[in-house]
Amino acid sequence: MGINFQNVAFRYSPLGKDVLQDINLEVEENDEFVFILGHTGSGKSTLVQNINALLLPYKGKLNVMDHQVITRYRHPIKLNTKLNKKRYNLNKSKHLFAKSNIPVYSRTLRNIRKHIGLVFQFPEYQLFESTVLKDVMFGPKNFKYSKEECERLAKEALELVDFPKELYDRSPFLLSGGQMRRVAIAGILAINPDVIILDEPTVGLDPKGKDTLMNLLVDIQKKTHKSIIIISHDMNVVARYAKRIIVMKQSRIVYDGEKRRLFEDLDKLHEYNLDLPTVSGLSMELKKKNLINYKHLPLTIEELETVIKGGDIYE
Amino acid sequence: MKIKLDNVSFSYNEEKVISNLNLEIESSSITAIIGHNGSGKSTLAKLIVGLLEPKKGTIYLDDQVLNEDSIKIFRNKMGIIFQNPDNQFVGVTVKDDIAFGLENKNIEREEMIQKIHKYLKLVGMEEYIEESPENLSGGQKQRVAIAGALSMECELLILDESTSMLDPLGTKEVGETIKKIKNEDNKTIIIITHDLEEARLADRVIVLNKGKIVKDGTPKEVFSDENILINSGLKTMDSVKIINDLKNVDYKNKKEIEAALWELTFKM
Ligand SMILES: Nc1ncnc2c1ncn2[C@@H]1O[C@H](COP(=O)(O)OP(=O)(O)OP(=O)(O)O)[C@@H](O)[C@H]1O
Ligand SMILES: Nc1ncnc2c1ncn2[C@@H]1O[C@H](COP(=O)(O)OP(=O)(O)OP(=O)(O)O)[C@@H](O)[C@H]1O
Ligand SMILES: [Mg+2]
Ligand SMILES: [Mg+2]
Repeated sequence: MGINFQNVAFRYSPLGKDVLQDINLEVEENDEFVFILGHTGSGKSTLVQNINALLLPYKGKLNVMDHQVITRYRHPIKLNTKLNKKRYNLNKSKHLFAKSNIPVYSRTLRNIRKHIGLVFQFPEYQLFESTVLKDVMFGPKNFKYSKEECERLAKEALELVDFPKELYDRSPFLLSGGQMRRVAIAGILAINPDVIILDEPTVGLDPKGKDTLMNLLVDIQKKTHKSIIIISHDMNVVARYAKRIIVMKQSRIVYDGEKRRLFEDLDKLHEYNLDLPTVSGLSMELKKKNLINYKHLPLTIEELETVIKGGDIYE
Repeated sequence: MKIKLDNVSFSYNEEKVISNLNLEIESSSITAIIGHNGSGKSTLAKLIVGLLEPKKGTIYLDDQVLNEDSIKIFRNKMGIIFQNPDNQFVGVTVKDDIAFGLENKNIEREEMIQKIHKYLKLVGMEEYIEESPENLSGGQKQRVAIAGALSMECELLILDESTSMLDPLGTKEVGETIKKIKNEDNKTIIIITHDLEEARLADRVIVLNKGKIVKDGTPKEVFSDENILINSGLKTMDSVKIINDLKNVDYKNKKEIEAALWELTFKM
């Protein structure tokens, strides 16, 4: 169960370059809190869209919640043979993409999407109904709940993300950026998927909204043990909440492990275009000035406060 | 460019989104605007560049009233990068997209091409010049939007959360670039952001709460005032929070640690 990638590769068009290469990754169905980090354009959004089968790999094996995701081409195609260029009409790659296996395997795809809830990087991509409330009700409606039940689920989800009640009947497109983000997140929470994936969910949220969301996710996990996967560039959020970190670089996974080992390796951080959380930067400066001392680098405010008071951080 | 708002109010429907706002911004400065979701930051930005018209009050740019006539003079001198870069792209390729803005400024072809390359290189996107903006990742879109706005070399540049999807080093690089253009070219720059580290780059920080300015000062002045920030749905810098949290606690090197935290946070 869970999510399992074996040597998966993906590209957007048959003659394009690999955007995912040699992906080997396993995420359990329960209790994982994974952060995916990495350089702009390294393949993070593409990776999570493969997990919910919005995009289909062309090579390797991908298993999502006991469903085998079929690769896009039946045989691994040798791209530069003349015959294949003809057969797959590679010059019209967009066409091929549209006509690929998607309809054939749509039942599997629908099943996968029931299990995996994905909040997109740009909330606009996800919103389309005429009012906020209808938009959030759309998900549950697909799962054949009664209208009253859908409305209850939608309102519950909107309350969880602190969305102002007086805006429930507003068009989702006439909202501020942070308000739109909250609606998009509520839309996924209302479906109650088994695994929740969020692509840069804290972007556009004000600091209080950010804390509310992160605490909400921690809470959901405590109660339901669902696994949660988050793409983020916010090192302060990552340092505080991650149990496991995956780093992508140029279409590959280059790090998969716990957070302290990553943040204590400055060369690696730099190589991955990452940075220290604010508190860790401060800690190193204070140590340089001989004002504090520590064995483990503080990653959160609480940890640095402990160290300042003369204590030690325990794992 | 100098900006002045005199008692400006705005609403989309019944509810006031910007409420009797008075504000002056000097040229050759970086101003950060922070505030809770829905506080009116993006609306304020659109008012300043003339995309929205005040319901009440007057906006002056370089001491001239901003209205239907004068906007024609100012339009080419102002650049705004929207919160969602997708709302901004007009070209089929990255190159076309940037060229579109430059064409509006009647810039010659030769110079145009040189500028396109220069600014795409600056944001590390030169190799994507022939790509369609649609096919870019979130951060790549933001980089292209930034290149497009910078290429216009406007007197006023507004960045509405435009580095929010960049990786940490990318965000730092853009910060450096912005400081450089302010110093070298006397530009007026307004940064709208939820990122406190980014707000710290500014000469001045303005806090909006429900369409009103509730605090206005240097980064140090604003971020020392933890109460007003918390009451506005915001937070202060980690270092200030630590100093405040430990105010009534005794610990070794207290004075030196406090001094060091202040210095590390607000050294400029
Ligand atoms: N086109 C619109 N029509 C009606 N109301 C709008 C429109 N755009 C924004 N609003 C409302 O105006 C208020 C201010 O929105 P604005 O986008 O200026 O906020 P903001 O400070 O930029 O917020 P955020 O941090 O979420 O981007 C919000 O309550 C929003 O719902
Ligand atoms: N629809 C598309 N068609 C073709 N290429 C694409 C498409 N979407 C993304 N790409 C390319 O695939 C690569 C990976 O993109 P992806 O969106 O997965 O990056 P990312 O790691 O999420 O980056 P970011 O942090 O900027 O969001 C990028 O080089 C991008 O240009
Ligand atoms: Mg992305
Ligand atoms: Mg906004």
